[in-house]
Amino acid sequence: MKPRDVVVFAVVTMGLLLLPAFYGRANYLLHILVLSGLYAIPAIGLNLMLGYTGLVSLGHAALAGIGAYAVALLTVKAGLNFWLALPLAAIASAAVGAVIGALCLRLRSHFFMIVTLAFGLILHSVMNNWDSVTGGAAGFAGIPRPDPIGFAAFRSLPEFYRLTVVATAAVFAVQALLVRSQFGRVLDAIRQDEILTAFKGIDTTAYKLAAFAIGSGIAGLGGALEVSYLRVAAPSSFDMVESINLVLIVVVGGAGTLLGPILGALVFVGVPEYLRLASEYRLVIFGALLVAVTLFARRGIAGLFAPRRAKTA
Amino acid sequence: MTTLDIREVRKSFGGLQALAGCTFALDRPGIYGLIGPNGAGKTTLFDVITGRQRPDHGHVLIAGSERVLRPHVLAGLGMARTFQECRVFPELTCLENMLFATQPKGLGRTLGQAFGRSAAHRRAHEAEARHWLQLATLERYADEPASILSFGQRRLLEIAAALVTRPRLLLLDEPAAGVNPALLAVLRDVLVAQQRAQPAVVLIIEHNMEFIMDISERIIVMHQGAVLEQGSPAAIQASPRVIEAYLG
Repeated sequence: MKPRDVVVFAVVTMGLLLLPAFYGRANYLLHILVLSGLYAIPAIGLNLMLGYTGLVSLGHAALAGIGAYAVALLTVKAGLNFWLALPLAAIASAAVGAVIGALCLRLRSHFFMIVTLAFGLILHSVMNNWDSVTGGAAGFAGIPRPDPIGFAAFRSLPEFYRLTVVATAAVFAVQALLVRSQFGRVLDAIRQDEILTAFKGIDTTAYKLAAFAIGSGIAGLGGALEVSYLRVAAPSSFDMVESINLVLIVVVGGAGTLLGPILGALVFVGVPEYLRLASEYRLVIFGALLVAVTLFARRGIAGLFAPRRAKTA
Repeated sequence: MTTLDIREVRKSFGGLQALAGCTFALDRPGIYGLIGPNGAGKTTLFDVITGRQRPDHGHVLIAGSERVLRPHVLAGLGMARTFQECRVFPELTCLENMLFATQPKGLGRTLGQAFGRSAAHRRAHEAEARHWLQLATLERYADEPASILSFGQRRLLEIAAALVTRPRLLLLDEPAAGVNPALLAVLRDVLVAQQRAQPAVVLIIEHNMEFIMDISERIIVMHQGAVLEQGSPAAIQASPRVIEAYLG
């Protein structure tokens, strides 16, 4: 990790934290940024799988849903403190992700994608129909905002905005540390040539499983924060369309780049809002962007800023 | 402990018997050529040794160990291999390709290092990696991605990267295929230098007779799924049975 990168990261994070002080009344802007952050977090989890390991999962939103319903049940039904429920929710998502991963990772390429899609549909179907536990299609209402820690409260929009910034920055930092370590280099090697990686002495199944579990755990964290912000967990937030949205965010933002998921989420949330379009047009815009990215910018928006990835760490 | 011990290995695909009781053992370090007409079972034997195929009958012992082994375990036992289709990491530089297998491999260790202090593993092997790159005439490309290399150069990189791990057993699947004569001479030099620096059992499948006769100290001839003849290159070239198998 270069010192310059760390400084830039710290300055940007501080700047974002100070934003409400200048735009304290610009609630709309803060709301957009919160939503972007809440998409960026699971997208970072997916980026570890899709961008770095080459595992295209089409059920990622459902794994965010596991974290969402876990935090809902733990805080509302079990009366747990939010800050205890949050890591447990991430662990629940990671555990479910590990089980699904253990079943899917025997398969390759498109077979893998289809089975992750199927698991996403199954999980969504459970959330949508298990009325006594999840509240069914009407959703699970009454999820609290995070409990205060000392002087820091998280009830108002600027307060929750700051929490989102810190959470997104923390997940981003975890991603950077993982990707730039030997662990990340192994994931990258698996994406390039899995058979060769195995014959170089690496238990590729274990690494893919770890990437799947970590990616799922991060998704669960994002899902838990999302429902705490919205105060309700609805199955439609974690359906197949949302899973595909996450793939679009990662690919358009720049799969296999550190900033890709965040840029993708900002564009995904921000552009339709800026253009005052109904969210139905979002897929049209993103479909066109996807074609453009595939043709002209294989490393997404992030790739436009860094023409070639730094090769040596 | 015998490095590679193949005992009565049989393997059939439907009605086709690819290996019909193949037996040989390689113990002393050296370069061994594995030849035979098309369909003799060479590639199936390679697949059985590397764990891609399970033998119907018989045993394959690598460094005395016999289980159906997964690739990373084989690598841990000191086996390295190259592929007929030639595999390198295209996005890594040549130097990174060389160093990849010298880095820590365990999941717990690499994950732990991600959040702790990282040790300087790279430096320890860099001099050796550069030495092999130089022998392979690739030192100019040390910091270039492997994808820019020609096929023959990639082949040399693949072999050099296998040598850095100091394997006890090295399997090369048609290393000379698609490599031009100039690079073939380099390849020969690399393998000879390897035998001098770190003796290992090197088993080479090859169709290029000139190359394999020149470089091997022993030749194993396969025919119809079994070993037909073993001996020095000169003895093999004079063997009537071998000549008949190839021409018959």
